[in-house]
Amino acid sequence: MRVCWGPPSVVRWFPALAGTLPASPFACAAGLCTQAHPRQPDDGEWTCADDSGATVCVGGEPPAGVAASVADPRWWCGVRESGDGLGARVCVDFSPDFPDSSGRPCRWSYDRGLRRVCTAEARGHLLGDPCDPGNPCVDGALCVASRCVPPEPHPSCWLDADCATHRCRFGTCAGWAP
Amino acid sequence: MGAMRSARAIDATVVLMLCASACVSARDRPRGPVPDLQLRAPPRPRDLGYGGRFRVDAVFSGEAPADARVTWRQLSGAPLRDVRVDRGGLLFEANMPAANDVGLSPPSTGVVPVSPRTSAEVVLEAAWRPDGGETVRRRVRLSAASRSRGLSTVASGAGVLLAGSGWEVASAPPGGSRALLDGGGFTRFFPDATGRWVLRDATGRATSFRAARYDETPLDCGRSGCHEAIASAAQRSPMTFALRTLLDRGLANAAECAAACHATGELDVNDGGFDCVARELGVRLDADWAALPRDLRRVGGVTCLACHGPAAIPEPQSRWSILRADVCETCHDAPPEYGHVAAWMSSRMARADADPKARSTAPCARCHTTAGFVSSVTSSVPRTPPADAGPMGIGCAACHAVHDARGSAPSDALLREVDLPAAFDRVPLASRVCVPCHAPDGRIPAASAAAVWAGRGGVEPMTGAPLEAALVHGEVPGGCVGCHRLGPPDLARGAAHAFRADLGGCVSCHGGRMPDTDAAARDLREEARALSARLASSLNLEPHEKGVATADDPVGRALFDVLLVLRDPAAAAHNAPYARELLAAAGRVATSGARR
Repeated sequence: MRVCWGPPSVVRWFPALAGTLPASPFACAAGLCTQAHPRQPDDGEWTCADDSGATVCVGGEPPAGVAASVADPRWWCGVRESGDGLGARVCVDFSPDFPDSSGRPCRWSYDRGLRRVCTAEARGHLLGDPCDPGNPCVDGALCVASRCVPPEPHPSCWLDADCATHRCRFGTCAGWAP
Repeated sequence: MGAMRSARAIDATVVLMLCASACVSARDRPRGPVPDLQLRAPPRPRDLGYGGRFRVDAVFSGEAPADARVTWRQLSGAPLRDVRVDRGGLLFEANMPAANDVGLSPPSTGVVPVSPRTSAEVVLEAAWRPDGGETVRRRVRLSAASRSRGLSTVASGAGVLLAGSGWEVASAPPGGSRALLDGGGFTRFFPDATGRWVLRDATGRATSFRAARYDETPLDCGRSGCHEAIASAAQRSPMTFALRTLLDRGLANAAECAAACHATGELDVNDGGFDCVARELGVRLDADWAALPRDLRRVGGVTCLACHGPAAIPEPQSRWSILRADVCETCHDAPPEYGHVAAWMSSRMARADADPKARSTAPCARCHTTAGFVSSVTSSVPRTPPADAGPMGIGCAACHAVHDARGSAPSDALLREVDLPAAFDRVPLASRVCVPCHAPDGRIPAASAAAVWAGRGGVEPMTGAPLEAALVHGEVPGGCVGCHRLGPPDLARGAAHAFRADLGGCVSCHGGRMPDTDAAARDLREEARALSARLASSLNLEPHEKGVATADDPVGRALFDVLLVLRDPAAAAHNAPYARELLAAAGRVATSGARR
């Protein structure tokens, strides 16, 4: 699915994003699928979290001793206006890897090494879900052409406190205006 | 915006190319319906122990041919012992080489550094010819010990060899087992969990280890306020680009080389290094840099962790060990291809601190120990080894600064840049690092070869003014190392680290004839000895050993000039005119009867 933000915003269906590397494999056991090498925005240091089917990362400290950091074009990135040390940049990936098409929720685990762990729990509302007035989208998403899509991304926040509006959704401050 | 929430197909065609234990490259795979021959290596194929017994099974996928005969041969490495082949070649058993077989010289206690040379790596090949088909060959690579820098920061998954006796685990991180194995004269420690381990030996001395996977160690060393300048310098280092350069040259098919020494981590070990991550991701090394997955790029090169190890910064009392040549030996001690360390070990530099006095006395340590030299030419925190660390020689880190924050454009050889007196301005970069220890230090003419060569360092005895002369060999490219470039003949790379003089190079500039430096040297030495006897018959003229400085008066200065010549056994070759000028100046004092 591809979104063209408007006005008016439209949703079109496209094949999967071309030109990016294959996903690292998931290892599934006992209802958990674990991805040992999840995608990140570039070769630097990032802290990431999944949110309703999108992955949002904060950080961006350059990697020391790496020949050249390469940015993954699938990520939307921006500068985070905060000096709290969590990171100077925010990036969001609206099409993270999943072990299957069931839309199971995933989380990032930093215990004993970085992992992205997807569970067999009941799925919540996700970006891309069908929507209508009786079946609203996840908080912060828009219902466009009967599909839940994020607002036009302008990544700049990790925490609500990063936004003048005190509301950060999918890395973008709610009510963002250029 | 990309496709949302689409499940991405996992590439099912990936092949393990980077030689997991008993792995098979795609190129070697048999074609057609014949059964596939595979080799089943023992667990921990890189840590079998010196003299350790092991077996490799040849197995057929599918139905094994009834009359299959597999033949074996050892392709490389020290000879295996007590080889037994059974069951038509389906079973191969042998003992790994002993530590003595590969020249391992362990310390008396603590972590044993292991290089490619001393790891006792062997490569075995099994061959089987199906009826009417082409011979199928499979290889397996084994070693007695994983390579080790000798540091306390270790990769989880890799074995660590410990010298000494009575080792036991005093504390382990959560999830850690108590895996210590004895054998081959050592204890083998397998840190199977990440975190801090404390081990004690029979004397009760505790050694703390930090264990982690390479790919799980943050690379934020360059944060502002941390190692920003060093990280910036590393960003320009050819070591950082070691893998990328290979890929750019289209040498990706040299996958084993790339994974072994142009990247971080050990082969065939689950340590989170390049080879390990490549296996986990099922990636073959045929891509350009940007097409490698992120987690491979982060360990793709001789990164910070390749030398410093994964995990946390070591505890202060362990930080001296980063100056050991053992760190570099994990790649540069693989003769005959990589002979840097083998050549260096044949030089006097490697034995510079063999005398304990040279390590324990500050003026001596400045030029006889790596730590002493580095702290004398940099502002870095001294990394003085403990008294029982033993000799280390003037190691790689003395002359090479792999992330010297001073250099704007690091040389390929990553030579250390040092400040020198203006008199040595003409010494080329390649040899500037030689000067601090091969030129007089103040009034003690302990070593003088660089000074004589440069035509600098002497004094006019009557006035104390500098006594200078032409740099007669200034046109030799590279300075000192332009001539001191010979080493063992059988080394493909790095032989120059024996620093033997290449007298053959003299011929091209001396009219096609070898100059008779022996005669000139003999004359100079005799004249210098006679002068020193006349000038200071009552003095003990052993300033190198005794630390006696010459006096700042005409006789003392004349003695200083004479000692410059005496302290350079090759003065006649380095700069004979200057040596004669020094002696002539001293001779004028001797004949004039000048007094103090």
